Parts: sequence; structure tokens; C-alpha cells
Amino acid sequence: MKKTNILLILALIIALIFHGSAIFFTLESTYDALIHLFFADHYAQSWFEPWDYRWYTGFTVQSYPPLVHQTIGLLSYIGGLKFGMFSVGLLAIVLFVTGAYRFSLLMTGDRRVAGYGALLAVFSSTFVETLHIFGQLPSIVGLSVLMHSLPEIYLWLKTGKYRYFASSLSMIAVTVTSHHVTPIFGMVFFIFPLIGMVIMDASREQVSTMKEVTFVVFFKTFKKLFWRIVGFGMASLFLIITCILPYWYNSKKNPITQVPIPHGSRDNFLEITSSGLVFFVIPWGVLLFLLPYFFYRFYSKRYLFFGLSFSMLALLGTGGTTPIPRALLGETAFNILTLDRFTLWATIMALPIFGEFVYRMVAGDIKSRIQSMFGGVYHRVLGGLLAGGLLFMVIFTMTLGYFRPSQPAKIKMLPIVNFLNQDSHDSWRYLPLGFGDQMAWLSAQTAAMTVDGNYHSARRLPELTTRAIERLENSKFRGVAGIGSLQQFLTVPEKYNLKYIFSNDKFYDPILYFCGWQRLQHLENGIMVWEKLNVPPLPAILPKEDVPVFLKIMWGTIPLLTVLIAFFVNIQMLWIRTLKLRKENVPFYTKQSINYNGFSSKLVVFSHIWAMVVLVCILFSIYTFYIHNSAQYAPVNVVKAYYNALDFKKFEEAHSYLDPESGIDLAQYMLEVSVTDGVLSSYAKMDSIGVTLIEETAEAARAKVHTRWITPLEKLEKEETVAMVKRSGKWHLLPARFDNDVPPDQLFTANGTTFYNHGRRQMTTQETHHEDVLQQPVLEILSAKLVDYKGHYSIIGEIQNVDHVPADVVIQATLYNDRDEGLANYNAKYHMKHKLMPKETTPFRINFEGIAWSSTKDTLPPTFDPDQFTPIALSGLPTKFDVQAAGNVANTDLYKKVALQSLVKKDSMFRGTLFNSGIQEVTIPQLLISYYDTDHELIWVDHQFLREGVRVQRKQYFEYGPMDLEGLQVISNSLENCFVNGLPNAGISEKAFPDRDKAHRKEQLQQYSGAGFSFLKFHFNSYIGNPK
Amino acid sequence: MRAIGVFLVFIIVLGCAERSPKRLAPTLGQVRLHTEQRNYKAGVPISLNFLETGFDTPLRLLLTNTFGSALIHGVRSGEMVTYAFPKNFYRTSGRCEWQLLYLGREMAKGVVQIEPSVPEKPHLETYFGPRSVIAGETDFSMLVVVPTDAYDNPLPNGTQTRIRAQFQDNIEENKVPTKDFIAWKNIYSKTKTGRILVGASCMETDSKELTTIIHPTLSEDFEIRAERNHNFADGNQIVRFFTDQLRDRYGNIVADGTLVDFMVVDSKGALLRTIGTTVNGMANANMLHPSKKEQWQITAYVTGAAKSNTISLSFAPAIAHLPIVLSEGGREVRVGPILSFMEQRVPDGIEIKMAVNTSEGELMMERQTTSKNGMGIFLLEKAYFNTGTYRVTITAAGHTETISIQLDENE
Repeated sequence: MKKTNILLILALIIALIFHGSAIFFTLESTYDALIHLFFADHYAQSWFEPWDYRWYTGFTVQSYPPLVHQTIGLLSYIGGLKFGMFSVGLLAIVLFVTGAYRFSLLMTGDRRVAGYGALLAVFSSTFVETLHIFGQLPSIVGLSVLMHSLPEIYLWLKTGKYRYFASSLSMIAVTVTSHHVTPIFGMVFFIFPLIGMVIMDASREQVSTMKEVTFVVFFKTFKKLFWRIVGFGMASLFLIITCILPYWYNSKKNPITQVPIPHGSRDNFLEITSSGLVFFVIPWGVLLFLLPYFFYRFYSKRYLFFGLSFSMLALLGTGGTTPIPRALLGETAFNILTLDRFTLWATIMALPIFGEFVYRMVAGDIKSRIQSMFGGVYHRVLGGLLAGGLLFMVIFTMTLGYFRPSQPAKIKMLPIVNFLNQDSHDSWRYLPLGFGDQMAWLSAQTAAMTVDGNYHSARRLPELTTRAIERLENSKFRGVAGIGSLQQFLTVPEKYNLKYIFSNDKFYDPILYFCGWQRLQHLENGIMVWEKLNVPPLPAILPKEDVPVFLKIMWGTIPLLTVLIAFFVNIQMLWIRTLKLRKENVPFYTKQSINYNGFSSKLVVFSHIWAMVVLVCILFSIYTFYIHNSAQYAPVNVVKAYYNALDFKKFEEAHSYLDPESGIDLAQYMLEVSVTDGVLSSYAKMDSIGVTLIEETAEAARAKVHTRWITPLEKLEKEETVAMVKRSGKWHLLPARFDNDVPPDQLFTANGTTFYNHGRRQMTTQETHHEDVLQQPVLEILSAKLVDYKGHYSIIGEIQNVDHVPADVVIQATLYNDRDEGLANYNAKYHMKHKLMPKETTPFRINFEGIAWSSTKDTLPPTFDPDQFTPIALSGLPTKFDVQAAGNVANTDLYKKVALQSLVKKDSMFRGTLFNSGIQEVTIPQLLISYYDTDHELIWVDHQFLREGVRVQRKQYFEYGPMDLEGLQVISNSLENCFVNGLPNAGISEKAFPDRDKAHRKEQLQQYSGAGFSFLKFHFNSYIGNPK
Repeated sequence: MRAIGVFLVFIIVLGCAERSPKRLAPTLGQVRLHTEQRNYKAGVPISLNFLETGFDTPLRLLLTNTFGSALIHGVRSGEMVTYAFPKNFYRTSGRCEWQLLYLGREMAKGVVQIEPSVPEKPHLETYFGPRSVIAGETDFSMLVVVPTDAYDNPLPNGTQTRIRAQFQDNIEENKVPTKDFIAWKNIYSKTKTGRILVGASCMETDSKELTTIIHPTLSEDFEIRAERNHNFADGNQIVRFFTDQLRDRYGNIVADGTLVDFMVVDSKGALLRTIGTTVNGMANANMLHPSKKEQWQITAYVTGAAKSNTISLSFAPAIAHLPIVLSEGGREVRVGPILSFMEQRVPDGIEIKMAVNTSEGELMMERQTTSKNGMGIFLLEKAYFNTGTYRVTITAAGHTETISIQLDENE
């Protein structure tokens, strides 16, 4: 008897030392922990008010059971939020280990086996993953308390003592308030089999051997226990409903009607091996080798129902690998649930049996059987392998986050928090980009609001809910939907009062620039702040969805109350039972332990075969992994390896694939690679690569390489022909020739005007003094038209900065039908130059984008396409429009030194050369091409991003194919409803530009007889990645 | 139990009862204003005394001025009830209406007139805008002066203010009386750029300094010129375009940063472009020399406002011919040394293109390289080019050379 306690206490000590110290290094970089921290901060700030404005333009925290959050919030009053989180983490560890112990004891009835179960729980890879990689604190607490409640439920059903009824329900209540999915599915997968087991045990008492338990006996016992079961079932259903009634109320009111977000647990694990690793291999770990034993034990009569439940859980946990989970759960549930939970529950359910196995292996009949079959040494080796495998999985899982970080490096939030508090920056919304789950930690520290958020079930804006993206913040990982969603927020930020963007990932920089944002400053933590001019601040009163007061009170009081009640009901029994302070009646289930003798030798053999199969599978997957990645094995491999190395900027590796006889050493190669800049080399992520061999001899080969790249701006495709040679059995790539061009001047000078705006000159905490507010630069709209091209409506036009200062230009247009009803409005995205020098002109085009896939039935495109465009669904034919232009003084991004050096028309293509004559390196040059009809009237505006940058005093070649504009229709051509800074355009024209010489415009057009147009004009817009 | 039942029924019955619409008739008493003063100075406390008799509930005084209304209680001593105005009512000038109410019924009403208290040193609010004007005589900024008393009440109409405006050596002063609370004056722009400073004073108070900036108006036509090192089309020297000083019709230098578009028309009619922005009225833009013989016509624009003269630049060819040397066996095609106008090797980076056709004329491959040390080298690898005859076309610097190559098996 004494020994068991030692095992449990040992398990607790190890758990606290190992997990307890590890969480300080892992928890903050898990997926979920910081989200719970944010919720906790909400409760710490306003305990009873469920509405939080900080995410998603406002959402309710009644969308997640509050117990864990409230506990962290409560503890944060003592030592801050993180103190609260770690305290709850430690609590969860203790609860889990003791819960596993009690569950094992219930299942096996043997204290020593239960001790092993607890010890194994500490090292179970599924727990390690859930805690240290996923950070799912509420789930762990919920599950642990559920495990604690199982013996109480057993005893209530078996004995009918109300004491157990109370204790079991008190714990169910705690489970409910900490996690909503756990009790619901726990009912099905844990409590139903438990009921079956109780009936089985009770039936066993009626007869003398287990064999005599027939269905008739079982059914009779069931009838006897029926009312206890019903009583418990109804009472726990009541608890599930009332304890988190506000949650159900909210789910009813705001049903989750969003496009399902892809989750790795729904993947086919054989296809997407990374998901297979995280959601199958890691949680199962060494248990995979012991599956035959688990099934053997679970399908014994006593555990029969657990066996069914275990099989079901294991099956559902396989996600999309087989079609069965989808068929069982149905389409909706399959797409909402994260199926990794089922694996978690399956592995937890297996713990007692695993404990039993280990016990039998260490000191029981398996040991003697193996020793008798294969000898003592083999047993020890086998035991060593098992223990080694267990420890390997733990270490592997713990360090997964270290070797394959799932989160960006830890960001110091203080500079951002200070920035938001400064100078009323929090009167606008902000948006973090590239923060990972740390965005929740930022939100928790500031009162400022963001349009984004990190709890996707609570999203409200249709721009978000209609797309399969978790967050805008990491939209680059969400393909077309992600970047598309982000672009809508960036193009029309006024709608969301979004003014500041904190960028931790330079991938997004080009799209920010071309959407009209400008860099404000680098914070001391390396985060770049971008701002958008002309965005109104948030109104003082924001809309919110209120709930009745009684729900608020319920939400604020019930969860902690359930803990208090459970504490008082159970603590006495718990202490007595686990620490054995005084002698107590042995619970009934401990009498159910069986004698472990005579382990079947057939099972030993079968288990060995199974283990072999698993081993072969593992070795085979390692082998295929190696072959696929053996770079110089075949010409196609070397091309792929080279491009992959380039994609990950591993230049040394890339160089090693080049022909050693080409005479390019690493230093030279690095020199040549490092000078290439542009959207492709600095901002692109390779999406796919296709290699087609054109010809192959034994010694040489030539191939066409077709690569697709994701860039923040658009999807790029590139086709190149490469040559390979074989040198001493290894294939190598022949290096491409680099441009030998030498710029004319070593040192040269450039003059220009720079601008500085003080902002506030007077130190005041009040609104900026009116004398310090700059006058808005005056713009003039030269033309504006509504055109219909291929069924899409666009507003095109030209606008000139007629003021004396550079202007940042925002253009918004609204479409109206014949009855003057507004149909749609949108802003110019990147079909314009957003920054204009005095007297500079830009063409513009406004596309009316709808919210993509607003009907969720639309099928999502399978691959990435950032420039995918969703035309808006208009309720009528647009016949009129208005254009609102606003200027604000700009003092950055005013680089104009890109010249069109040459232009040749060849085969209905323009081949041109750009020349950069200034002193800034242009990272992404953009061509804006305006088209004109025979009367020199603007009819269309097109754009093209060049793939490579233009370096200082160097050339860059481009090709542009003019469009086919046949069928383009100008619906309306009018300057009547055009406004600049809120004033009519006509008045500005009269005052600022009374005698405009209209011939100038015509003289600047390139004649070209194209399809549907007669003239065109090239304009240049330069994005500078690193301004000097 | 029974008692509780009765109580519940009672509560329910009460709950169902409707509130009676009729009230007991109030007893109307007598009221008379005792205070006689009707005009006050802002800031002097005001209280109205009424003689009230025969009311069962106290009366209330409703005050209404330009900022809003307030209901105040009186203090009774005998039959006299005193209603003291709150601060924000006796400090605000203008009409203040009062109504004495008994249960919402008006018993008496009247008006008190509050005059601003004209101090020796009034407060002075000044506003001046827009903050910049265009040179000429039509554009203007407006200065608005609002003299107020200590409680922010505007002073009476006709209060004299003095408005001063300085531009260069000239200071103007005007006396402007207030009308409808404000005094204002349009300060017209001048023909010269610069800064107009304005200030105002009223009695013994002087305002702060305010300013508007006169910006130049639109540029007039201008002249351009080009500078270059030599007139050869070597593709590797910078040609610089300059404008003279851009000025508006009053001779002011245009604003710094004004964009000047240099449009270049080449000999094939293609429109090239380079852009300059002005510094001290002069803009400069650069281009590279063309790499083959060329004739450029350059005109610069400040689009819509001004245009330059057109200048013409011609570039003589720098490279006379393309020497092509074949290795033995013909697998290496060496282009060069390409010599420039003084027989020097061309600078690195001249674009050289090679097109390989079969003897039947079918295009097999196109390659491109850039010159290094005057040379460009192409390889016809054995792996791709079998034995046979090929036609190789080399294009560089506006020259095209075609040669025939016989590839042997042994090489």
C-alpha cells in the first residue's frame, strides 16, 4: 500500500519539476496560451462586462467558457497576468497527474498500476504536446477535472450514495465552466463507457465468474441502475446548460456562420506529413507500438464499452486520412471540430492500460513470459527500448518548438505599447503583421483596438468570417484568402478607423506601400510602424451588443462558485484518499483489480509482429524522405534543390549545386546574388516548381523550370531554361550569366528637396492646436469616367497635385444607379501613385471589390492567387458616380528618379529599359499604363509590377503587352460630382489652374494603334525597400 | 401559507392596476415677481425673488439661455422665495428667459438681459486662414478677431479692433469694429512670395502673431539645355538635362519640388521620359547615352502650366563593327574585342545577343550576355549541338553579324 503513494508522489514531483520549470520557456510561444492571457486580462479589467472592443471591432468573451481565464485574471491581481498564467499552468499539471492517477485506479483497481499510470501520464507525449506546444490550458483543466469526476460518478452509480452524486456533479460543473467541448464529448466518450463498466461490474456481482455475465444479466442490472443513470444524466445536462448559459445564449444569437478554417488535424496525414507528425505521431508516440495490447485489453468484457469508445476516438483522430471521420461526424461538425482532440482523448484513455502494461512488463506476467520465451537480457533490452522511446518522444516534442519554431521570435512589446499610448495613437485602430500569437499579448497590454483578433470563432466582420483565415496578422500563410482579406483592410482603412500597422515581417511592406501606406518609424524593438493618412479617429461611442444583466452576473459568478463548491465537497475526500491521512473505506472499484498472471504468448508474438510493421513504416518513410531530398541524384533533383535553397536564402547550399568547373567561387556567387533585389528575390515565397527536361544525355541535360511565386502583390510565374552537367557522378547546375554592366560614375551627387512636418509644435495633451494642422494640399481631378470593361465597372481618371507641397492622395468613388441610390464604394488600390510631387499627375483606376466568397457556398480556389479579384455584386446598373479625393501633406516616398531609357515596339510587345538615375535603390518598380482613344481621352488604366529592382545608375529591362480594349464602354464621363478635400473640383480648377494648357497632355502620349485605343502613356511608381 | 397567498394575489392585482390618469386638482396659489432689476452685467450674481402664497408643492424656476436650460429650486423665507441663478447662467451674456413652474404649469415668465462686462483687457481670439495663398492679387486669407470678456462673452457690436499686417517692409494697420461678435478682414496676397504676418489688438489686449505664406503661382514657359561628356552612343555615359530657373508671371521662383517631366522622342518615334524636381527653381534629370546611333528631341513640361523649348541631341555610333572569332571546331564563339570610338575596348556591360539557326533556318536557341573587357563568349555545347552547319547571328550595339559555323564531331 505504501509503495503506490510513493509512485504518485514521485509522479507529482517529477511533473512539477519537469513541466513546471519547462512551461516558463514554452508556454509563451505556444499557439493558445497568450489568447487565454488576453481573455484573462479582459476579466481582470472588467469582470462582469462581457464586451471587449479590442478585437474584431468588438466581440463578446461569452464565446469561451471563462473559468481558466477568470482564475488567471484573479491571480493577476497578485502578481500580474503572466504570474496568473503560470500559476494556473502549475495547477493544471497537478490536476492532470492526480486525475490520471484516479482514472487509472478506477480502471484497473490496482494502486500500483495506477501509480505507474500517473508516472506515465507525466511523460505522455500527448500531454507534453497539449501543454508545451498547443498551450491549451482550459482543455487540460477540463479533461483533468473530468478524470477526477469519473471515480465519483462510478461510485454514485454503483452505491447510490448522494455524497457521490454531489461530488461527481460538482466536478462536472467545474469541467463545464473550464472547457465546453470536453464535457459534451466527455459524456459520450468517457461517461457512457463508464456507465457500461459500472453495469458490468454490478452484473459481475450477481454471478460467480465474468463469463456468466450474459446480456440478460447485464440488462437486468441496467434496469436496476436505470434511475441513478438517468438522475446523473439529467443533472449533468442541467449543469452543462446552466453553468455556461450565457455561452449557449451567445452561440444561439451569433451562430458560427463562417467559412471553416483549415486545420491540420483534418488533413490526410499520409499526404501532409507535417500534420501527420503533429496530430498523429507525436500524441500517440510509443503507444503506437502497443496498440495490439490496448485493443486486447479494451475488448475484454469489463472494458468493452471503453474499447468501443477508444476505437472510435482513435478512428476520429485520423482526420482526413480516411473518409470515415467525415462520414461519421457529418460535413459541418467535421469542419468545425479540431480532430486532434479525439486523439488526445484516446491517448489519455489508454493511459491506465499503458500503466498496466508497464507494470506487467516491469514486475508482472509479461516480464516472466518474455523472459521465458526470449531470455532475461532481451526483456531488459525491450524495456530499455520502450523507456528510451518514451523519453525520446518527450524530448522530441519538447524541442519541436525550438527546432521548428511555430512562432516568430519573442517581440518586446513595451515600445509598441508606449507608441500606442503616446500622442493619442490609440484613438485609431492598429493592426499587427507577422506577430504570430504574440498579438494577443500585445492586445492584453494596451487599451488600443485592432481589427484583427486571435479567437476566430468570435469574428464578426464579413471581410473576415467569409474567408478561411484565422488572423490577418499571418495572412501570408493563408494564400489567396489571407492576402485578399488583408488587401481589403489596407485599401479601405477609413472604414475600420485603421491607421497604424506594426510590421514584423517585411513580406507585407510592398503591399502596404502600393496601397498608399507610409513608413512612420522603426521602433526600438525593430518593428516598423506604417501609417495611413486621412483616416478619421474612432468615434467616442462604439456599438456593442449588450446582454441581459442576469447573464452578466451568471457569467461573472458561477464559474468560480463551481470551483468553491467542488473544493468544499471534494477536498476532504480527496486528501483522505490520496494522502491517506486516516483510514477510509476502500472504494468499491479497487476490488475489481485482477491478478496478472499467464500472459498470452500469442499476444507477445503478435505484438512483436505489429511493432515490426510500425518500425518498417517508420524506416520506409525516412528512406523516401531521403531519396526525395537527395539533391544531386538526378538532374531534376538538383534543379529543385537549387531553387529551394534560393527560396530559403541558403546561398552556400545553392552554390554547392553549381558546376564546380564554372569557376565561380562562393565569394563571387554571394556578391552576384546579394546585389539582386526586387519582388522576386526579396519578397517572394516559392509556391511550386515544375521541371521539364528538354533533353538529357548521360553527361548533360537541359530543362525548362517553371516556378510559381507568392508575393504580397500578385502571383508570379517564371519560366527559365537551365542547363545541368554531370561531374564525377553528381549533377550540377550551370550558373546563369550575370550582368557585367558597370555604372558610369563611381561617386556622384544628387540634389533634391526634402520635407519635414513638425506635427505638433506646441506641447499639449489636448487636440493638436489648429495652427499646427497643415492645410490639405489642393488636388485637381482632370478627368473621371465610369467604364464597363468585360462586365466589371471601374472608375478611371487622372488627378494632379496643383499645390506647392507634395501630397498623399486618397481617392474614393461611389457608384449610383438612375435613382441616385448608392450601390458601392471603394478606394483606389494600386492603380495610382499615392504620393504626388507639386504639379505631378497620376492616372487612377478604382475597382469595386466585393467581399470575396460572401456566399460561403462558393468553392475556395485551391491555390494561392493574391491578385484574385472578387467583383462586387451590384443591386442595379450603375449610371453615375462621385469621386472624393483627399490630399494630405506627404514627406516620404517621393522618389521620382526612374527614367524610361528606351522603348521598342516588337511583335505587339513593348520592350523597354528603365534607368535609375538617382541615389535610392528601387526595389519594386511599378508601371502604370494609361490608355487613350483617338480623341486623347483616357479610357483605361493598367499596371505591371516588375520582378526585379532597378539599382542605382543601372538599367532594368521590361516587357509589356498592351491590352485588348475592344468592347470597353465609357458609361459616364463627368467631373460634376468630383470633390477634392470636400470642395467641388470645378472651383479648384478655376482658382488654382485658371489657364490650363490642355495641349501638354496630348503631347505626352505615345501613339500606338492597338485594339480599342490609339495612345498610351507610361508612368512609374517606385517602391524603395530600404530608403537611405 | 395562506397569508402569503393573499399577499401574492394582492401584489398581482396591484400590478395589473393602471395608473389613474386623473390627478387631484392642484391648489393654485398666488405668485408675484419681487425683483425689479432686468439688466445685469455678466459675472454679477443674479437672484430673482418671488412672493409665493398658497402652493402645496414648491415651485421651480426654469432658465433658458443660448447654451441650454436648467431647472432650479428656490429658497423660501416666509412668503419670499429666492431663486439664485447658477454660475453658467449669470456669466453668459445675452437673453436669459425664465419661467416659474408649478407642477409643469407656467405661473409666471420673463426675461433678464445680461450684458457682457467690458473689461479693460478683453480676451482676444484670433483665427487666420488659409495658411497659404497663391501669389497675385486675388487670393486672400481672412483674419477673424473675437474680443471677449472674462467669461468668454463676445463684446458688444462696434467694439474697435486694430488689425495689422506685415509684408516685407510694409506694415498696414486697419481699424475694424466688431459686428455680430466678430471683426474680420481679408488680407490679400501680394505678387511677391513671402510671409505675411498679422496681429490684432482690442483695447489693451494684443493677439499673438499669425501667419500666411504666399506661394508662387504657376510657372511660365522656360528653357532647357543638355550636358554630356561626348556625343557617342556608348550606352555608358550620363546625359544631363537642366532647366533654367522656373519662375511665375510675377518673377517668383516656383516652389521647391515642382515636378518637371522631360519627354524625349527618339528617332523611331518612341516617347521616353525622365523626371526632375526643382531646387531653387531649377530642375535636373538624367538619362543614359543610347547604345546605338540616335537622334533625340527633348521637351520639358510642368504639365498644364508651362513648357520648354525643344532641343535636339544626336549621338554618333561608338562601335564601328563586331569582330567574331571562332575557336577551332567552332564550339566557342568569341565576340570581340569590341572597340569603341577611340579604339578603346567598350566599357563592361554592352548587351550581346546570339541566335542560332539550323542551316534550314529554324531557330534553335537564343542567348544573351554582356560584354566583359570588351569580349562576349558563347559556347555551343556538344550536349545540345550535334555535328552540322548552323547559322549564328550576333547582335550588339546596333550591329548585326551573321556567320555560318561547321561543327565537327571530334571537337
